[in-house]
Amino acid sequence: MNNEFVEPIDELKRVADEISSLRRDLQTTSAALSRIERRLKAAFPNYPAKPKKPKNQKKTDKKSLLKTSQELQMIFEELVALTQKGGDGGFASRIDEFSDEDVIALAVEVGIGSQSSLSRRKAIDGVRKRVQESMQLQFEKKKNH
Amino acid sequence: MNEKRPPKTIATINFKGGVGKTTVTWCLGDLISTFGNSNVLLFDLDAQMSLTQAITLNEDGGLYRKFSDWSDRSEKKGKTIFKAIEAYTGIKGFDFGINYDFIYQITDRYHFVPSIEDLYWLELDVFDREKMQGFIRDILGEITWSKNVLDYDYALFDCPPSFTLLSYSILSVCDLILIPVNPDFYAIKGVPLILNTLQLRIAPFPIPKIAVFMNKAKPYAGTMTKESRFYWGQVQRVCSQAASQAGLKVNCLDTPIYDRVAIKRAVTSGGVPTEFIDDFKNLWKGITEFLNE
Repeated sequence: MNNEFVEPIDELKRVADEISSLRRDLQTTSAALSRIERRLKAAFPNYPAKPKKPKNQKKTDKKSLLKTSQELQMIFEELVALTQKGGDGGFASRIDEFSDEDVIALAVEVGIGSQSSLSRRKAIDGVRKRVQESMQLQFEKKKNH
Repeated sequence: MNEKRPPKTIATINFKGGVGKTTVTWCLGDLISTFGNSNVLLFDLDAQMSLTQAITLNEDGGLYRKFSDWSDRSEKKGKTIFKAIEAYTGIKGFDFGINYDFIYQITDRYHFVPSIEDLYWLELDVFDREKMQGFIRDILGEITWSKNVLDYDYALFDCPPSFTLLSYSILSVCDLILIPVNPDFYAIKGVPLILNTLQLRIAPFPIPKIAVFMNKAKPYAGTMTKESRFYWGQVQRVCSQAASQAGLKVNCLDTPIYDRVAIKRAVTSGGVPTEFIDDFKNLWKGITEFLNE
């Protein structure tokens, strides 16, 4: 005689199938939501409006501009000269003497990103790269044979 | 008696590709023939034929529809720059016969000597180097004295990004070498490379005046970005070293051409885009002042 009732093992399979089906539906819905969200972001890139920067951060920016452009240029040239003489050790020991604000201002002055996007480490790496580039850009007087 | 004078010669070069040699040369030629009332002869010396192909590709635009037909006819008649070189370096005397089969008329005042793929042979140095040195000087002489073509005020040369025999021929006789640089290290590196190379390769001929300017400068608030200014500062330093150490006449022109999308239309649209006219006028003013010093 056939059992009219579903065996527990069959019920388990049925529930597992329903869960799988539901999961697929959720994944499809989630993917559709992501697509809609991306389209909305593309159409309204500034929505929601980004929160304004706190006022004290602006003060930090001003503080880092204590050195003038000419002073920063002179520091850069000094770093180039020190690197030429003493290699990276000369560079590292001199740049360690500067405050975070000055190092970041120096990096900005030589065209490495903006003040808000730079950490001390990133700024030093950027300045080091510029120093190396500068060392490679040298004129050499050739002798006529 | 009407005195004939050879045109003032300006060669645009940088060993780095993509810095804008072709576009700048084309725009300057268009500017001074359209707004300056000068007769201009433009040479495409690059075997890659960027300028020549740009003009060919623009045929659907209408302005240069005749160029392909003209080019086919010119090749059949043996009136290409390569044939001119062959004739020049051959054993017979040089009597090429300059006419409008050799020179293409873009407009009444703006004329063009196209490149041809055969110029790749020059890079294999199959021609006598010493003999080639005088080629540009002598072909310009033939053009100057020819009654078949215009009297040209300026000859502009779009040079290949390497030191070929043709580069040697033009760089050793031109009035001005124009070096466009971009605000990036590799393009800037071209400046000391060219200055160093010129000393070795041009000797014993005197090195012409050299003008350097920033092309594709990144704009920010009406001037260059800090990054562009950094690289421009590096160029000025290298040029200053070249002037003081080797006595080269190098001038860094503070007349940048800013990076804007429209510049890509320059050749194919048939003229300097409107928004660039002032930039190029300033650049040309700097060039002529230096040329006439």
